[in-house]
Amino acid sequence: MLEIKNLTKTYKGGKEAVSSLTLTVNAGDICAFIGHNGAGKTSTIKCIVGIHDFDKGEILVNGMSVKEKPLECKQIMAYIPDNPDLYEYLTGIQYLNFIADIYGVSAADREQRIKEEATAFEIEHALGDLISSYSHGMKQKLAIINALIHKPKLLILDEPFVGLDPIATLHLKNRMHSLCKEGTAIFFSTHVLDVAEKLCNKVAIIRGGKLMAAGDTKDLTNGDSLESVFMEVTKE
Amino acid sequence: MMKQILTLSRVQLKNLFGINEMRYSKDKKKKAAFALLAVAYLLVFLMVTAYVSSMSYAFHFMELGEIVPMYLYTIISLVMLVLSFFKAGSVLFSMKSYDIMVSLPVTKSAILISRFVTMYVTNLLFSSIVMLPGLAVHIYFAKPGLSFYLTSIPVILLAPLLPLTISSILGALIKGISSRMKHKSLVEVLLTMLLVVAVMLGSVGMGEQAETMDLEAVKELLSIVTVELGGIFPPALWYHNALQGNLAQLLLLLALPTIIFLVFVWILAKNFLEICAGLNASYAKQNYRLETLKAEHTLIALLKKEAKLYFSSSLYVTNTIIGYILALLLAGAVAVMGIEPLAEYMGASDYLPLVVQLMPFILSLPLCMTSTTSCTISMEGKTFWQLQVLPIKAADIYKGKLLWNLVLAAPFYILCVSLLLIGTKPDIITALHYILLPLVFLLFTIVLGLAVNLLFPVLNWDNEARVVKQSASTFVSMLVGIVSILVPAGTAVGLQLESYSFFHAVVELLFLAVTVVLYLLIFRKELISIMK
Repeated sequence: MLEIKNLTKTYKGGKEAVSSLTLTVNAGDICAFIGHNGAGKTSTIKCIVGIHDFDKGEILVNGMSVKEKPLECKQIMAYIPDNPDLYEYLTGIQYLNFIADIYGVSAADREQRIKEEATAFEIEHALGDLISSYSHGMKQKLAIINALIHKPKLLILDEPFVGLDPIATLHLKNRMHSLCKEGTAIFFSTHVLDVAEKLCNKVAIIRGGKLMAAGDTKDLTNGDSLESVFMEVTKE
Repeated sequence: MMKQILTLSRVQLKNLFGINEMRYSKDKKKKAAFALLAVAYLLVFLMVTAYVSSMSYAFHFMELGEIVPMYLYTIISLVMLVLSFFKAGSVLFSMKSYDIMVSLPVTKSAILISRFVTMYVTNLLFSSIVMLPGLAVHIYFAKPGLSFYLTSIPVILLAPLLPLTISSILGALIKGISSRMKHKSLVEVLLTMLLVVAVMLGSVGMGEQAETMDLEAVKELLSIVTVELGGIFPPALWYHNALQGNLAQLLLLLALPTIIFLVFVWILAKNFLEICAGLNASYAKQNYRLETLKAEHTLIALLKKEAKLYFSSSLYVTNTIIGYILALLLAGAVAVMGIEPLAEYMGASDYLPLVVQLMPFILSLPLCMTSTTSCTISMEGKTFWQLQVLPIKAADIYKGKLLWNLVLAAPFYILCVSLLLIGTKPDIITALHYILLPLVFLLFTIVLGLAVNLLFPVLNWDNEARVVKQSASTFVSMLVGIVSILVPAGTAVGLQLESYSFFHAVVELLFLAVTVVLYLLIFRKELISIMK
């Protein structure tokens, strides 16, 4: 579902954030992308979702290049940023409606999906209020519902558990599992190695813009903890 | 507290005009944009210098050199009053940086004064640019003694204080009242517009009063102008008298703004948190029940989003709608009183037929002075990522933004043109140009605004004033827009034609062509690359 081939991203000024990164996430995979601060996780994610351009390499979503067919890729993809800067001048429901309009979700489908997710994330009562009145966690929940509204085939999340309460965290994990069973590929960055180890069937470790290790979680850890593998792999 | 004010002010001043960004940015494109902006500022500076110097020279030529300092002082004070009024409230009560600052061990007064300092420095820069060339010419001709310098230097340094304080008091009052209302933005926009219209009507009244004076009495011209300027702005008269050696009025001129400023800061500091909290509070009912939802076309969804974005910021509304309101006032005045009083007000009563032909240009000037598009991309700010990840073409986003400006401007345009036609009752060909010329200029300004904002986007702002008032995009759009109307209008005056129909048609076609080219350029790859 997601194929990254030799991705290189250099920022203006010459800093190489991602260097020849190659990675594959298949349908039904939950892949954790882990690395230190500034390792290149967010840069990679922003290249996938179309926020950043990139210099070399190729990113394919469901076989389509994000450079050549950006709209088709975005149509089947969803992204949740680490800091949800949403349209604070809209109410929650106006925001979700706007997103649904853009993705062309039918009125009946959006009603059903919003109802389901908003109830599960315990946010339905607040949907009529302006987003500016939301707490960080509520904005995060709204960003998650926004990402799920068009049933994406590829879900990209940047630090998705930051700011969520325990119930919402549990619900998100369950949703990730159920989406994965339905064939959605999930790729997310995290610093919480414990979550990555328990939740994901695949792990990718990045350091200084280079992919240091990637593969099935079980094969990679080989009976050891992910924490010790991570420390070993990212050692200078 | 002084150290706190200095530290806070330094941080805010670094953000002024994006200087810090230019200094440390490694982006060559950004640096080039800054250089282009610097050139534009330099051009304006040269134009202002030329205008002020020649005006100062003209006064001396008419042997009215004595009034030059007070005249310049009045001009800068009134301009600063208007400019500060539109942004004072938003700069003073911006909550975004307040959140960070309030957690630091600094006093509320220090936060407040540091915000004043930013506005003070901007205004001082402006007043110096206007005052110094004019005074240089005055010094050359009048050769004043040491007392002139000893009086003028502190006066110039303190010149921004009074207009800044007055506009801040008005801004604070409006913010204070609207902070208690549910629809804060709407109330703020209405109060601001009400005040602007009142001032406009008041100034027209003053103009009429001035015209009843016997300006033919050349011998008394000096004292008449002095009294008139003093009537408009009494501190100008104090400055004039101080230059004549009146020490008491000098002290009054220096002490009064300082005292008013300090009292205002003291009072405001007491209510600062309350006003900030009130302004930034959201009414959360937490009682929503999901009902039937409606699916809409992408462009309609984008248009609705643009409307919500627009009305979410009172600063954005007041600064972009003001031109339309001025145009409406102008057209309304023509409809009620006819074109003659306007020609008389412009000092062109002998050229009535020309004024009739210039009317579409005169109307276009306020109508096209501002556009929502000139900062529409920048207004997305930190939410810009959302547009980047959605499955929509950049072109559709731009269309939504252009369309919103058209939707907003359309009722004003229709009303203005209708009122103008009622007031002037022109022949059919002239009427056609009354309709077409403002329309073409309006379309041009809207497309120009977006093109310029795509060239000079600012997304990392923490105060709307940074993009609405101080951005390169707004400045360049307004400058190019005004010059684009003034050049053909000036040409029309210079040509002195029998019939202006052909000339109007040429201008319409020319600007329509430029608008189409600009529109096509916007959708070219280079400009769309901003989306990356």
